[in-house]
Amino acid sequence: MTLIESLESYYESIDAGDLLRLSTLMTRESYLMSLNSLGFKKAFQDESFRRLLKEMEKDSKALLEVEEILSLELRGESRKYDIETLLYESKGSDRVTLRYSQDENPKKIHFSNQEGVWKIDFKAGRKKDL
Amino acid sequence: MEKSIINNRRNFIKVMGMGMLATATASFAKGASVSLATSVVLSDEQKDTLFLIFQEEKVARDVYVTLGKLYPEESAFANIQLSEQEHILSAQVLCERYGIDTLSVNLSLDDNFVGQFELDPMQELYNQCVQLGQVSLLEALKVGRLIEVTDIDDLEKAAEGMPSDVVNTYENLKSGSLSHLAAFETAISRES
Repeated sequence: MTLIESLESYYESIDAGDLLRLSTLMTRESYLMSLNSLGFKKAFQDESFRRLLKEMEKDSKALLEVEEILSLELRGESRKYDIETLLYESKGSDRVTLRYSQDENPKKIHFSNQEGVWKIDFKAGRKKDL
Repeated sequence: MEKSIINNRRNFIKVMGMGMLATATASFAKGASVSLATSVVLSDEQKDTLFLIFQEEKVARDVYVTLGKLYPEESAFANIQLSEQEHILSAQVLCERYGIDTLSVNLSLDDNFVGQFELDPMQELYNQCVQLGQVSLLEALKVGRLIEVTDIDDLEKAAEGMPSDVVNTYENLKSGSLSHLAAFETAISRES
């Protein structure tokens, strides 16, 4: 999969509430970060969901519950994005930033190379020392 | 009249922001030799964490700037957004000390940049916070409370295994967040 295809797949997965697919595109830490931000509203309204979000990193059952709940929530929303990719920026031998526009707003998505596979990695925005 | 007060407050924040940046840079200049003398070297993962925490601090500030404009009668947002600006600068100084370039993050308080995030999860978080806070002042204060609780958790996690100067800075940020949390709790009690 190319980086652009990964980016498109990232938004499609969120649109469709397909969190399994989303998880395959990203590093685990970035995936958990995505779940935390996508689930903020639910956590605000529901104390038990807030606890699940806190536990999901170490508790696979909590993670599964979070995924089920959020998947349903996302499917109930109709998120549509207009994405246009702009350029690549190398941040070292194993990380790349893709600049793009989302609904005309400038955005970035970072990738790091994990054992030969490029994964979305929100923590990889720093240029690595050579 | 009300618009003028908001503009004055925003200009004050801009000036304060610039002033704090100068102070922080001067402090950094003094502290840099200490950092070099101790020869502390961070791993790539630790540097990435420093950079992420720095970027996350902008989310809280921008949410409070936006909610503060929605509820200008509530002083908690105005007071805490100033403190959040200091948090950003503390995290920025830490990044600079370890050679992490922070120039790619736009910290401008210009209307065109407040609430704009290049990373999707941060944009998502900001959007959800503002959407929830738009319902009422009470809900906005509760959003503030949850942001601070989340910040405290994130800082505790980020401090694990870090050298003492990073831990100290994160402890200071955590103290600030605890004080913001108390301010939001007080305001929530008053509004409930």
